[in-house]
Amino acid sequence: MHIHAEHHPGPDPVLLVHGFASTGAMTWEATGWVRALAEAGRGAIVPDLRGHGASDAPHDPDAYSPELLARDLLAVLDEHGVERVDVMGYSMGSWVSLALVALAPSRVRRLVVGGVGTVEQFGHWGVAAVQAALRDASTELDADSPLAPLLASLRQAPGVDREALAACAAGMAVHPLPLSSSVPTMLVVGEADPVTEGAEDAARLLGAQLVVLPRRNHVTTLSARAFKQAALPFFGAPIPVS
Amino acid sequence: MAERTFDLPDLGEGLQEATVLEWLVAEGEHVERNAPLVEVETTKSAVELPSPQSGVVARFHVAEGEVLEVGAPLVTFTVEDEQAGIVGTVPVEEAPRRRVRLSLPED
Repeated sequence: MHIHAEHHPGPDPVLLVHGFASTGAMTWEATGWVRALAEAGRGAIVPDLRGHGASDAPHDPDAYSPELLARDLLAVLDEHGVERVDVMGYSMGSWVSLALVALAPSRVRRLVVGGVGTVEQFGHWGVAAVQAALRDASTELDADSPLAPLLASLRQAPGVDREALAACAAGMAVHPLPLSSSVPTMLVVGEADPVTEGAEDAARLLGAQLVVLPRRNHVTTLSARAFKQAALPFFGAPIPVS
Repeated sequence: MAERTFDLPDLGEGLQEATVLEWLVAEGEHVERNAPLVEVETTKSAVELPSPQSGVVARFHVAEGEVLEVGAPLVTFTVEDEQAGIVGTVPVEEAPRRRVRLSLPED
């Protein structure tokens, strides 16, 4: 399995984990995160999850689970010779990051997750419906679904491996959400983001500090200055002795 | 002293307009080249645009929450005279390979 990762040199790089149907560059570079980390004196390691971007993209749903994608992240850390990192995930990338904590707690120093609550979105909206909307322009998801606009734009985009995304949605949906964390954790959500339903419960289960960004939705939370102003000091905080 | 105006750059993916979410500097403030300037939202993503040059921000041409067409004036800087008269655009961080995979047809 080839996993593509961009390495932005700098001390103590942060591992940045993107969400469903995105790429490391779209989620973390275009939104100013890599630049903000550089200004804070930090490097960044920005992988494309399997099924996405320049990484391998199997079409078998069994090739996708939070743990399998987390194992890819471990391989990326090993490849870069990084023993222990601060990790930030967004949306589906948050579930993968939490799976990484469960898999290898000694490798994660602090964790920021964003764009999630307690509801697994693929199962909630129906894997078959998500897959049909990915594959067929005549199929529309429930208009209330926050996935609907994403899938509508994906259908028009050449070069996206929609079968890999369909397999990813199916594979992720059959695994329980890893709603626990053994490292210092922060949860950041947009006030206007329905994907983060149950965020207060999620924060409690994770033992996480909860940050709610006013007026921000699932897309605009990512680029918000307030997100960076919350996460960067969290990553800069003294490391608790465990 | 002179003024230099920058237009909203083509953000790729066939997008014609963007909504200004938040200015990351204030009018009258000095900003360094490549420092965060403005956050904009398209129908597909949210993007932080870096400043195209160092200088004092003279004025914004669009308020937060307003929609701006690609190529329309975004921001005007006050610059030294020798820098004036140059037509420029706000640089966009490109990630060519992966961005291409998600781009819409150009027509």
